[in-house]
Amino acid sequence: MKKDIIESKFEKRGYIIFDDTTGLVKDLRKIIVNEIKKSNKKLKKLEDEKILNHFHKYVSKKSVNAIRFKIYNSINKVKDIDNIYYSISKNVLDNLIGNEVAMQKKINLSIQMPKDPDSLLDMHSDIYAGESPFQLVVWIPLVSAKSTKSMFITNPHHNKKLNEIVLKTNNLTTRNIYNKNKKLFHFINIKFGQVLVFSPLILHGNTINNSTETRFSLNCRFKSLLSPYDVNVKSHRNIPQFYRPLNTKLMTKIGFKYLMKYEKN
Amino acid sequence: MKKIKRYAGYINLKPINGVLYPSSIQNILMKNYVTDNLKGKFYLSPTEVLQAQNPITLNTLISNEVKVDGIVMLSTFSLPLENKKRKIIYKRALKHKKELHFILDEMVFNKIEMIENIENYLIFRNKFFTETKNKTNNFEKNLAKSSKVSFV
Repeated sequence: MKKDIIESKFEKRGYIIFDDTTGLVKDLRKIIVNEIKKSNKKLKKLEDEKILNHFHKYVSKKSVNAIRFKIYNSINKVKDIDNIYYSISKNVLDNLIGNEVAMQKKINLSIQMPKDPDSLLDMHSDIYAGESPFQLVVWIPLVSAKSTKSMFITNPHHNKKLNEIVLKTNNLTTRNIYNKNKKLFHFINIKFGQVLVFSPLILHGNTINNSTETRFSLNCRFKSLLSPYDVNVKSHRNIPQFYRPLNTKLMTKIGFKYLMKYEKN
Repeated sequence: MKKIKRYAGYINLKPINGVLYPSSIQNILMKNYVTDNLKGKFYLSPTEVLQAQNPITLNTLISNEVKVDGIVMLSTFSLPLENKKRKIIYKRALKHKKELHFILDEMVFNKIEMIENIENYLIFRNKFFTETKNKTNNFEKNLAKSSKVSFV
């Protein structure tokens, strides 16, 4: 996709959806399905998509978090997983944040079973938790997702108003604000094999999954290596706590080594 | 039978990029890292002397006097600011065959080639990366004005 198309779509909606042309999304799904199959031999002969979409039929709601954590640990131990994940969205990231990047240290896994009230992420902006406004989220569904099986998001125009309400209210909860303004949000309609890149400045979240299928998705944050980490408030959303440098360019190393050698205390 | 390695924790109470980890939390993180990741034996975790000009506690841990196979600390950011002092630590750790493990950075120092990696990583301790951005300069103001796009 060309730069001007990426930029115009992103400016208008605060996000962009594109097809994975690397084939690596399929590989990522394979890694996760294999991990699930290891712990449940009954699933060995089933198709990957069926295992994920029907996951709630094989696993109880009570045990989902323990399983999620186990898979999360396994995928983050896969050799070169950071570069695999980065490669999938490199073209879009190059155009939106540049090609020298910091990457969130761990890739997150979400499992949202139908009717599960314990996997809710109310309307929020990641910035509220001290994350950098310079960052993007790369969200990769491992099954097709729409409506409540997916995540909701608003658009940049409505976001300005809603953000002000969140920051200034004294008596509303985030759920109140979402419920009162539901029509300003829409659910992302995305197919397996597509990738969503969005600005977490835009309010987003999820509701109870009222579909009959489980959603599996991965998410990870990226930012320009040389853009600010802590903005307005100091938090742990920085190196080495939250981010890691993925591909520091040679002149960045040389320049900072010069700076360190001659800097005045 | 494979020998179980022994590791000492090294507690440093200086903030790591703005985050101050209480000693009790550091101790838990180090103990878990040694037992879960290294499958080793957790020996002790002394605290660096805040007022000292040199890292006396770390120097003690990497000396011959303390019988451990390695030292575990939260980050390379816990190493001394001065290059000279770091070089002494690298040299002594190699001489006494002691590994240095950095939990948050997911790095291990156990050979001379790792010095370059650690020194490259320490770039990110520079205030360019650690300062909280509260104000914009004129260039940044003009850059922001040049675009109509804003999400908030």
